[in-house]
Amino acid sequence: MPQLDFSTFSSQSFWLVVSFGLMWLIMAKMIVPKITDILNQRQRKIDDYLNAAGEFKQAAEAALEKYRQALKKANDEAAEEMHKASEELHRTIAERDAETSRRLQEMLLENERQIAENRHQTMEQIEKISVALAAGIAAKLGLENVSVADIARIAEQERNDG
Amino acid sequence: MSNPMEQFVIKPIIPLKVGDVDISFTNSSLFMMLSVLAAALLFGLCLRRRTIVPGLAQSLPECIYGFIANLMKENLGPEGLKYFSFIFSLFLFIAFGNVLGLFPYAFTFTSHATAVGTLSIVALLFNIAVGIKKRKWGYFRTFMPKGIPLALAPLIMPIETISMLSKPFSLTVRLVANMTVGHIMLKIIAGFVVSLGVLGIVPLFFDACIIVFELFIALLQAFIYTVLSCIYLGDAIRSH
Repeated sequence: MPQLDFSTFSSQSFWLVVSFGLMWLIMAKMIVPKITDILNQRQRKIDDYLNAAGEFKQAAEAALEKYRQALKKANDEAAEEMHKASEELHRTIAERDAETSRRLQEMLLENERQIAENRHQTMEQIEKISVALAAGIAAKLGLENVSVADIARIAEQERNDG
Repeated sequence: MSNPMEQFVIKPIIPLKVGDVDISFTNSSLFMMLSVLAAALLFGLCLRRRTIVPGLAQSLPECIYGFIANLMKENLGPEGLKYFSFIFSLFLFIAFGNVLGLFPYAFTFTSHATAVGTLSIVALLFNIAVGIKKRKWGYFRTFMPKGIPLALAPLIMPIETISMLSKPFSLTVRLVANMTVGHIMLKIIAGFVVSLGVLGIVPLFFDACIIVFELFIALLQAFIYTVLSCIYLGDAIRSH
């Protein structure tokens, strides 16, 4: 078995140490630094992009926050305006209500006064007609001692009693 | 039929000697160097033009990097990445050694226990060095964990020592056995392709399937070697 040929042991060991040493040297000094360098560059680039993305996100969040505040402010202002307008409206309605009520009251009083006057006039008319009617009936019955003045006095007495 | 063990014979290319020690440049040494060269060339070419958004070529080293880095983070935590180059080299060295060995007429240096054993010892020494550097004298607590009664020391210390030394041994045996058996199987079946004549197409098809399977095994074994090395390194830098 060639593996057991002792005469080759020293040469194999020597060249193994030499070649592995060379391999280690080449890898440690040339190959690995190149790979590490490019991987680090890539990592840095990725980190940069991630940082930039993070900054953009923060900016977007800040803008969103600003927008929300502006929206809230606008809402508050709108609510206040509406409140003012509502108060103004209520006040105007109340004023107009009061004005209308006052005018209605006046018209009511005026109407009542008119009605009372009309009633008085009508009563006088009725009295006059009644007196004339009674005088006519008395004349037809031949009651000559009953004058119109008597009838008018009786009617007046009745009205005052009634 | 040729001897299936012949593929594992180490042949000197440039005979060299330092004193009495033979350090000849052999076919094994050649493939060790080729693994280094192939890995360096492939990765060098893939990383020639680097862009933030990686192309197909750049993705390959990055994927392997990510894969090993995740493995180390899981086993060693984020601080383990300090030793990334070592584990990364270990993985590539074995993976390229295994895969290059699958080419026809190629030599698989990972099928030799001496080569893999040396690598495992290098890894063990690295673990010890890292352990001592990180934990100072605390590293030697590995051999006598806290809370063990002193009376048990004569029993525990040899067990812990054997346990530590068996790690490179198990790493070596696993990889070598897998590589050797795979290559012997390929060679034996390939032998039938010629000897069976026209019917040789059946073992040829079979061999083609096994090659794909062996490619998977080659990468899987490199991965297993790397994972276990990571776990052993983790044991060295963490106390029990």
